[in-house]
Amino acid sequence: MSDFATMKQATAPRDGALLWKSIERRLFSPGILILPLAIFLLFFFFIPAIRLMTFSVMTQNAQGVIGAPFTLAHYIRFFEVDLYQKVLWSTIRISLITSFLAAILAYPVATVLVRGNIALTRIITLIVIAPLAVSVVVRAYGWQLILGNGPTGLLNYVLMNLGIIESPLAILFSDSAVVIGSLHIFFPMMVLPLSSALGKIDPNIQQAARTLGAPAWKVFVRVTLPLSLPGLLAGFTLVFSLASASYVIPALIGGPGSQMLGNMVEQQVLAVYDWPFGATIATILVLIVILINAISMKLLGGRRIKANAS
Amino acid sequence: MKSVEVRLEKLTKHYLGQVIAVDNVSLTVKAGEILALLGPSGCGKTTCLRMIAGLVDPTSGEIVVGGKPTTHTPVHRRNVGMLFQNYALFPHMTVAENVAFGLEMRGVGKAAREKRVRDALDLVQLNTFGDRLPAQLSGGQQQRVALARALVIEPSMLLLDEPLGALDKGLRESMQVEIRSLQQRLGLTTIMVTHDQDEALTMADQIAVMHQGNLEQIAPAGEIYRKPKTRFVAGFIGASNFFEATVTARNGHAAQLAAASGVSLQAEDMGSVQGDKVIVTVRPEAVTVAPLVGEGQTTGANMAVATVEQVVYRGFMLHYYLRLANGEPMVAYRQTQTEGFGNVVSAAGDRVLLSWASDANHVIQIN
Repeated sequence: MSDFATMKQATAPRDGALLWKSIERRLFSPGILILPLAIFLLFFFFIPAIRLMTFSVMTQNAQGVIGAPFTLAHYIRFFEVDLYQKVLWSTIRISLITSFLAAILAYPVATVLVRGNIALTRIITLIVIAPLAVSVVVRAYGWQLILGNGPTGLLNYVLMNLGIIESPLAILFSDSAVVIGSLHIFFPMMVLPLSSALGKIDPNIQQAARTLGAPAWKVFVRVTLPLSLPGLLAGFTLVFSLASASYVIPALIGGPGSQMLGNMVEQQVLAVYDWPFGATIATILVLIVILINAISMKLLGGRRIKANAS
Repeated sequence: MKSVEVRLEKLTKHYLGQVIAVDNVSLTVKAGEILALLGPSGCGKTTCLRMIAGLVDPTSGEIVVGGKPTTHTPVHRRNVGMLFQNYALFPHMTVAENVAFGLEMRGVGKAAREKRVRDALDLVQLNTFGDRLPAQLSGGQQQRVALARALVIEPSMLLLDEPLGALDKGLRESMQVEIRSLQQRLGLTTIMVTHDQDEALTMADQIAVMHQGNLEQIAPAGEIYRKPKTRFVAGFIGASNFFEATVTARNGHAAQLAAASGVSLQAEDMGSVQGDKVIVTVRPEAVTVAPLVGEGQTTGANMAVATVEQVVYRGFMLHYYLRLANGEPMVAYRQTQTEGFGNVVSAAGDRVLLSWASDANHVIQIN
C-alpha cells in the first residue's frame, strides 16, 4: 500500500500535465473549433430556412395564421400558372447566360493572372476584386446611368457621338441589362476558382502538347480545359447560384419581363402577404441551385482523376 | 528515321530589361549525334534548347534543321520530340492516350495509331502499362512514357531538358545508358541540356559548355576534358589546379614557364596560345604525392613542395587537399589501390613532394 502511495506521489505532477494536455487537445479539436459557427448557423440559418420550407406545404387561413392542413397546392399553382413558369425560365436563362459569358470572359483573365508578371497580376486582381467593395445597390444605379435608354445614357451618348449607332439602344430594363449587371457583380466568383485551377497546371504540360503538334486551340481543348475543369465547374456553380438568387439587379435594371424568382418571393411576402406561396418559390429556387451543384459534382466525379498529378 | 543536321547561327535571346540570356551562339550538331549543352544554372542552355524547340522566340539568329531555316516555324509544325525534367505527361490521359496524342494531332488513323503506340511502348518496355494513368507510375516509368510519346511521332530531332534530373542516382545512370543506346539505334539527332558533367560525358558525342549566355567551348567529351579552352571550362568539367604563369622560353611547341607561386613548369604543347601571360592547368589525378625526404631536396620542373591539409577517403580515390609554400591551394587525386599497396599514404600535416608529367600541363590563353 505504501508502495502504491509513493508511486502515486511520484507520478502526480505528470498526471497534471497529462490532464492539461488532454483538455487542450479536446479544446482545440475540430468539433469544438467549429461549434460557435455551428450554433450560429443552426439558429439563424437552418431553423429559419427549414421553417420557411415547411410553410410551402402549409395553409394560411383568413387571419393570416399558417398551419395545417398540409398541402401541395402551392407547388401545383406554381407549375400551372404561366406567369410563374415564365419567371422560372427567365431566371434559369439569365443565370445560365451570365455563367457562360463569365466563363468565356474569365479564361483569358485567369490565364493572365496565372502566367503574367507580378505587377500585371496585382493590377488585374485589383480590377477584378474591386467591384466587391461597392454595394450592389450603388453598382446597379451606376449601371442605370451607363445603360440609360435615352440619348443621354452614357453608353448611348458615346456610341452616338462616335457615329457607331444612329438612334439610342434600349438596353436598360431588359434581360441584357440584368446579364450585364450580374456579370459585373459575379465575375470574381468565376475568375478566382478558375485562376486557382489554371495555376495548378504545369506549363510544361501545355508546352509538351505544343511540341507534339497541337496548335494553340487544340492545346486548350485537349489539355487546359480538362485540367482546369474543377475550377471552371466551381466558378460556374457559384455564379449560377448567386445570379439565380439575384434580387437587387433585376429589380433596379431589369424590365418587367426580366423579373426573377427572387423578385417574386419579395412580391408574395411583402406585397401579397402570401407567405406559403413565397416560401414555395424560395424552395424551388433552392432546389434549382442544389440541382446545379449536383450536376457539377457528378461531372467532376466522372473524371478519372480529381487533382492533376504532377 | 532519317537523321538531320541541326545548326545554330548567331542565336541570341535578350529578355526585356534583363541580362542577355543567350549571346551569339553558333554551333552544329551532326546528324545522328548527341550534343550536350552543359553549364551552371542561368547560363542560357535551357533558353537555347527552348529556342530550338520553338517555345521561345530568338531575338536574332537562325536555327537551321536539315538545311532548312526553321526559326519562324511555329512549335507544332517543327516535329520535335521533347522530354521535360518533370516528364510533363498529360495527367488526365492514360499512358496509351499520352503516347497517341502526337499521332492524333498528325491525323494518323485509329488502327495505325494503336499499332504505333504499341510499338512505341514496346520500345521502352512498358507494353503492359497502356491503360494506367501517369500518377500510377514511378518516376522512371513516367520518363519512359514521355520518351515513347516523343519518339512515336518520328521526330526530326530529340530535345532533352534535364530529363533525368528528378530521378535518383542509380535509375538516372541506367536511363542515361538506355536513352543513349536507343538514340544510337534510331540514329536520332539529339540535343540535351544538363548541369551534370557526368551525364554530359556519359551520353554526349559533343559537349558545348555555356557560361553567362556565351558558348565557351564545343568539343568531343575527351577533348573538352583534356584540352579545355578557357579557365571556366577547366574548372567546370572535372577539377583543376590553376597556375598563373609567365612563359620564360619557347622551343617549338614546347615551353618553359614560371608560375607566380614559384613553381617552374614545362609544357610540351602550347597549342595556339599566344602571349607570355598564361594559365596552366593540371588535373588532380595527374599529380603524384610522395613523402619529402629532406627540406633541402631539389625540385625540378613540374614539382612542388606542399603541406597536406586534409586527406579525404572517397572509396577508390583519395583526395589530398594541399597548400604550397606561398599559400596557394592544390588538389591531388590518387587511387586508393596505388597509395595503399607499396606506397606510403601521407597524412594531414605531412610535408610532401608533388610531381607531374610535363604532358599533364595544359596551357590556356588569358584573354
